[in-house]
Amino acid sequence: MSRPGPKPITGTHLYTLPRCARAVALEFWGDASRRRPLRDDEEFLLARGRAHEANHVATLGWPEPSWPRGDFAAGAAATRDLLVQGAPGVSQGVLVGRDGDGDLEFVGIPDLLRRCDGASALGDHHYVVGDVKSSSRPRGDQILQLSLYALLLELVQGRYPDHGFLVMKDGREQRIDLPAFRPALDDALARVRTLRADRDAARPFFAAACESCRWSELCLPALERDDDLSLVDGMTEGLRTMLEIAGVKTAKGLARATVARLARDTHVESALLRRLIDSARARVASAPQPIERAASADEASGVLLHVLLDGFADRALCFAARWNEGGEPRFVAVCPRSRDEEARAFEALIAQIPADRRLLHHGRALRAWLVRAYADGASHDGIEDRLLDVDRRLRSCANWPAPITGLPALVRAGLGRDPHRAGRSEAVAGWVEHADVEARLVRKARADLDDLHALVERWLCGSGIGSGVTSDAGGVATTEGGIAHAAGEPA
Amino acid sequence: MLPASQPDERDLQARLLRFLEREDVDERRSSDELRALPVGDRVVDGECIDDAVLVRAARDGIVLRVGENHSKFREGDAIALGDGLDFDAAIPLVYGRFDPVSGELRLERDRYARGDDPVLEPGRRYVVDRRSLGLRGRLRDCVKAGFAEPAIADVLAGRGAVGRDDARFERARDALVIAGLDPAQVEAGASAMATHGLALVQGPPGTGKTRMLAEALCLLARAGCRIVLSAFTHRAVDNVLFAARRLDRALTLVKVGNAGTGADDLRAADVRLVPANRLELAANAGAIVAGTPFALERLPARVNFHFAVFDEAGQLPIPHAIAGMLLARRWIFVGDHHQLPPVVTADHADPAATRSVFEHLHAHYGAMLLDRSYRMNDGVCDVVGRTFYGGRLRSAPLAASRRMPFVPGGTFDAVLDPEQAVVLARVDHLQPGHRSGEEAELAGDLVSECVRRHGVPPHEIAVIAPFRAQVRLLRSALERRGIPIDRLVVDTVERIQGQEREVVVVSLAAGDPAALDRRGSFFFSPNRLNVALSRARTKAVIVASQGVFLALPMDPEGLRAASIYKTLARSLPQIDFSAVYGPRARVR
Repeated sequence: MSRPGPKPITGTHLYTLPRCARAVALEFWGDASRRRPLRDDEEFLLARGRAHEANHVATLGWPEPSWPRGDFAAGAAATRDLLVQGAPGVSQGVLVGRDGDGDLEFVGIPDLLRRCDGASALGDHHYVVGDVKSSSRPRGDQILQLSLYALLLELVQGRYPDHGFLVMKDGREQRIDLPAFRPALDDALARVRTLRADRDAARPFFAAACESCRWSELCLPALERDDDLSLVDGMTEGLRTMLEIAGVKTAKGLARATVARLARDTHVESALLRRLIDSARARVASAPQPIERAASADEASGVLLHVLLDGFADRALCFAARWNEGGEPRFVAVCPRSRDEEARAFEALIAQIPADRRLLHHGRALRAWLVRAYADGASHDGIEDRLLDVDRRLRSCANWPAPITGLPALVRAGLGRDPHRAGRSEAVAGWVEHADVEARLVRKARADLDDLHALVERWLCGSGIGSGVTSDAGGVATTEGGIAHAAGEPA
Repeated sequence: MLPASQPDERDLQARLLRFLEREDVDERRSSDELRALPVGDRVVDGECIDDAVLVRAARDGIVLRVGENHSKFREGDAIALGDGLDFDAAIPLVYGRFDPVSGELRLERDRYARGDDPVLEPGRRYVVDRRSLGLRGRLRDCVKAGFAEPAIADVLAGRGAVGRDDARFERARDALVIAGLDPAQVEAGASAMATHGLALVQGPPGTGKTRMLAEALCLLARAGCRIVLSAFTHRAVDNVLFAARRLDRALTLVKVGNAGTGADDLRAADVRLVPANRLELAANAGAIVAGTPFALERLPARVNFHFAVFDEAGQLPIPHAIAGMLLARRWIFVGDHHQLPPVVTADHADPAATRSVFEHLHAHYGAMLLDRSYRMNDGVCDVVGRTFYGGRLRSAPLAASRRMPFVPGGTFDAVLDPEQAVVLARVDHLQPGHRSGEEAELAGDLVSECVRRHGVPPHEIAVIAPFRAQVRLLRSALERRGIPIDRLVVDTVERIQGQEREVVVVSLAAGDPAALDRRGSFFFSPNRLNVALSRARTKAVIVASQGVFLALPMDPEGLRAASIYKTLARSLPQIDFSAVYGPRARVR
């Protein structure tokens, strides 16, 4: 990594820390030119979030400090002037904190600073801090970010705000009891300071967050090169550390280990160790290893359901279903044009599906949509009872050669296909502006259901034998003919 | 962008019915999901025991030998014995007892299961799986009936009558003063007895709420009142019955429905055990009739009561409470929403529907607080009061000065020093799940020194863990040290509410901050930590990894709760034993 300047700590670092400490370290120490460029869908989502924030702020009509770009000290001074004057609120105010040598250590730019009654160093008033968010409910990372802003505000006004607020995507304000989270902030700050001081304070660890991380092109090749244990399905950071202490430092090493020895040296329960060793063996063999499980008629005869969502707008853009009838595949898709049409569209889809079959889906999105859509107690005629989430079943029906972080990883590992060949799920929200939006959505839904169908048929209903799937070292699967078996030692 | 009707605007009845429906759906779904997993995954989840070899099968039970048992099963759970793949052919049984030293697992016959006697083969390997029983359907009718009663609907909506009859209050107060209750107990007990409709009493740990309740109920019953008493667990119901019997040998005490495991003790205390649908009470005679909500739901409609009383109401979901509320028009709720909450299995979009009846009513009406703890000494009470009760809890004078017995010169003097009432004994590890052998070993040595050096009797020690898998490890560690575990309490927090011991050791088990970040509020429960620590009269030791106090959960409630843990850890003396018990010490 390149030699860093003393970049100040920002709210973004606090926001990122719960997801990945390594990413925070790279924000300080990494070469920004090596960050993956933003994809189109990411650009779209960012722009939408900024527009949402700008729209809300505009409705308040609060002043914004004027300062030369990059000159945070000037920005902080301009902000302080507005606060001393007692402005009803300030948007995009600049708050800074300095270290013992007077250097800039912290910079925060909260969306909103709102005036409240109650004396402070500013006069007979003080301010509380707020931020505009694109989520429907507050999250811990957002609260940590807000807490940092509160700490910096305390430096200005001599008083820690007794609360802050988050403006959620529907415009509702969520009051946050900031003092209650102060211990978490203190811990988070200590860790971020350590990461800022030591480039090696956090190691990379392969996780679901890597899929969307712009530093992944730095971390993932290094992990592959080291045959890192985090590339074994089911691994956690703690388990990795314990295995390394016990002398197992690579996936190959884990594949050769025995349960008895590791259990003795790590105190980890045998069933978990057995699973990890088997996953390591699958990685070494570059092929999934099916696991015996009870057969389920529901899986074989079920109807596959899928929903494409615009998470920000809380909209279901497309419902689709796939099932077999008389040996032939049937596919139906319905694309509601507005939120008001969603329930009707879903019911129209359900009406075309055999009424006596389980409704298989992957992940929580569909059930969460159903609970929300019928939250007022309207009947959905027992649909929820028919739902069957196959996520956990698919994760556990085989020892996978790579960590299964979601459906795309299953598609790669279990089928050897590109899960994004019809587009990414995160990108569908941006298709609404396109003239051929419905065609895109239907194409994407069909591809997803084809993948899900193949996974269920091959890995849940079949034994997995004959899948002919191998995975290369980068976790991207290719297809070969023939039967894939792993040569391995008994535990 | 969100639905026009927000949860807090919707009808509470609809929300409660939805809650019950979702609990049912989730229970069925969870069962389906479990069965679809391979045996190994079910074992890791704690929902299965594999490699159980049949030793013998007799009329009264079945004995198997098991190598490892990390399951969450507890005595009385419905289980199925089979090959782990064909659930239809599995034999329905009831989980009995497991001996971690001998590896013997005893399963009982299920008297309600239909079918022929199963054929079992000694020496064959079996798999033990969980079986589900759906009981919530019966509560739906209770909810509908409750909201059809204006008085009940008003109380639940925050419009209830909380006033009292002043003359009755004065008489009740005089009687309770004579009974020797403290000022807060007198005020709360008398107000409850004199209520026009609703009374709430918050009883933090050791504040004598069971005694206050028993005194009040006995006074009412002697005056000719018929009282129905309910709680979520048999143990809570029985505790009040036993307390009432100690005060008055002549009172009519009845328990309806299933007697639970304490049937013999109840009979010995002259408590009549009656099927709920066959209850008959003498007219114009006071009595206390007790039962769990499912039992009360079966009482004949003709039986009516003057008071419905709910103990441990902080653990009682609202639908369950309604089953008892239907039986009277004056309601007394005694509980503490800072102790164990109701057990909820589904992931509910409407958290308000999952609150306990006590917390729900407390939000509307507040509660009378019992503020003097007779259990905890000054040091324990200070930590518990400061951490969970905003400093409003005091130690009663006699309790305040108590100290655990102590003979200096031991290995763990810094931990067991009586002047340090609550201590954190650290052993840093990174276990991701529900068990830590590192903590079990340290806890075992601590208990051993308590017993052997300091003379604390085993029956005055409790060892508590959040997870049953950790409880098993702890029992094994204690057994290997020759500590008689049949005389200690070694259990999860859920099983220990209401009890107290001289010394309590709490083992938190999980240690990987990254894994804890994902578990959030499920692991970081201030309520459970409160219950664990407040079982101690003179000494509480938290055995934990530093990792617990470094976690930053993503869900706000988890982050808030983790902050409470951090604050607590910073306020306690910490002694680090990682060099002796930690992972690096194990590897040769």
